[in-house]
Amino acid sequence: MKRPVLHGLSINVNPGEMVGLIGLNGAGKSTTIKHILGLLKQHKGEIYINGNTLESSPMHYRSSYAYVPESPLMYYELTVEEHLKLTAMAYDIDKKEYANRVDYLVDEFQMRDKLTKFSAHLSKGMRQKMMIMSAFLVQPSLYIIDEPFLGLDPLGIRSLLDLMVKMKEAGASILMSSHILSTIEQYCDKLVVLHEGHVIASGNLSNIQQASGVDNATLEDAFYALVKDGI
Amino acid sequence: MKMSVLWNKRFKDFWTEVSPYLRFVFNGGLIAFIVISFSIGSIYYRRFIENPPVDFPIHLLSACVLFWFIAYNPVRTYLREADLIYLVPAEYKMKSYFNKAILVSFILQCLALIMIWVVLFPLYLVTSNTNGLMFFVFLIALFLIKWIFMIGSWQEIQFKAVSHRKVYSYFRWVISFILVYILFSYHLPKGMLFIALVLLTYIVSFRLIPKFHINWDRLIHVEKQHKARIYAFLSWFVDVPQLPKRVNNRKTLSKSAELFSIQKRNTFVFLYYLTWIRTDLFGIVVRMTLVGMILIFFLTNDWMKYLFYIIVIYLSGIQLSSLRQYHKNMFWLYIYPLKNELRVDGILKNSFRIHLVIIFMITIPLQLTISNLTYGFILLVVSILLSYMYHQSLSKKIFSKK
Repeated sequence: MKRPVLHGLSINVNPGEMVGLIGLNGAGKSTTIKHILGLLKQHKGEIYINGNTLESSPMHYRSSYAYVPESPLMYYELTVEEHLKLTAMAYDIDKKEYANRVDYLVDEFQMRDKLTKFSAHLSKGMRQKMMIMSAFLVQPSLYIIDEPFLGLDPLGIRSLLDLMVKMKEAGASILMSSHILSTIEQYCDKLVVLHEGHVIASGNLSNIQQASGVDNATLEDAFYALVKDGI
Repeated sequence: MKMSVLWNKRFKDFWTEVSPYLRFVFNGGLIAFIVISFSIGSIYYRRFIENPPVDFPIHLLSACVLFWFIAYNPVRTYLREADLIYLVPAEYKMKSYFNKAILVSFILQCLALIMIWVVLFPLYLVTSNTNGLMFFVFLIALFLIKWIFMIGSWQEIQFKAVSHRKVYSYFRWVISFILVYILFSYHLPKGMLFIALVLLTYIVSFRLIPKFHINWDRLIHVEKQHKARIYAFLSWFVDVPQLPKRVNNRKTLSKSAELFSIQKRNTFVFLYYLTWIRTDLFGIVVRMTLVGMILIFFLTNDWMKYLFYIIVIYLSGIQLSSLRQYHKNMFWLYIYPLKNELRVDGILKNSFRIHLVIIFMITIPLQLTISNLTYGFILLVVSILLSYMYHQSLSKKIFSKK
């Protein structure tokens, strides 16, 4: 058995809540996300989505989240539109519902003229948009979003944030990991600071400020105060 | 570090990367096939040489066979994409690296040229009144011409304008053919003089064209293509994961995928249907079927028709089974709320349906041309049954692996 990377992690993402997962490179953010996705098996503890664990009912577990990966993972043989259709099939989305959602998403992300393009011919930002559209097409209970802003143009970032707020208000849970702390501070209701596999602070901004010992600090300053001892 | 040492290392790395695959190439009966066809060929060739027809167009034949080896001068640079960052700063120290690349490529290609010339020369000897010494005279002349075109091909890559590159590459092929033809069919000293003049003009003309010092983008692109071709060849024998994916839109055919309704059970049928249409697998299978249909139609012996019928069905079945190699390690397959059974089902549904179409297609020329229609019908029914059983067994095989 490998040496554990994460220790005693406890993260709660409630309906209608956006939680920001922050930490330095190698802090364990991606590992945390892989565990939630069900790609890694934790040594101890349980992970529940909508009350299901991966073991108890794998299909319910998997269908209750959607994932936006840090770097796009695509089928080279498929066009953008076919990626969306494939997602709709895998998550059993109603035909009419599919048409409506796609219509909305392609306009929001300005991808209408890219629908018939092959994913390999898209720029990094457009691939990222394709991943985001696929995830939001599913409209699951939980969104897991890993550093989504890299390569996105300002309009795309705005659309993504608007969409996240909209889904959150409709009752979805969002777990987002990012290094863009100002955005996290502005949008997330709760924060989890990971450091060397441990949660060293969590809660809302004032909780983080308290933990860092710096009053009235921005998230960036508080985060720096929290992790600098380890450097 | 001397840059030619880096080239040596890259050269070695490439062969270490490829060597495990070569085992499969040589195991796969290819060697036996080559040896057998070579022996049979040499028997016929010897007979032909002993009794060559009068007025045999040996000059034209020599030119047709040899000019390929003169005009086609790929230089293996073993450059990688990362070199754009790490080697470009050392651009002006790269001379020894590229010289080595050109020289080794030249030598390897000359070996191939020698082999062809060894085979061709006996015929040349008996059909034109020369002596054995000419073997070397021509060979050296061919080497020299090739060397000039090798340098030419290298220069072409450095051209700034794509249009210049196209024109020069076109002319390289045309001039190669003309020069080799002249070399063989004209009075030697005069012909050589003419060739030398043409080549001189050719070389001088390069000074007029705007060039990069090193055209990195193009070099890396060419190297990638070359590597892809090697892996494409290897993939005939064994599954090659490094093979860069080639995707062909095939728009009209892809349209048919729109018929799949949005339903869970269609997910993988849809995915693998499009995969089959857009990858090389499609071309391979379609070509195989067409060749089979034509052969069956034109063969005169019924039993030979049956034989090829079975061969095409067998080989296309094997080819189609490689569909399961696609998306095997795709991340999303671990994420989707879908059972693995659905994937296997999607693969095999496609494979079986396509196989059925192939079976029906090649049954058409068979039934049109054989004398006993009942045999053809029995063959059809048995083929469908066997295909069904084959796909059943594949399904078990894929499951037992999981």
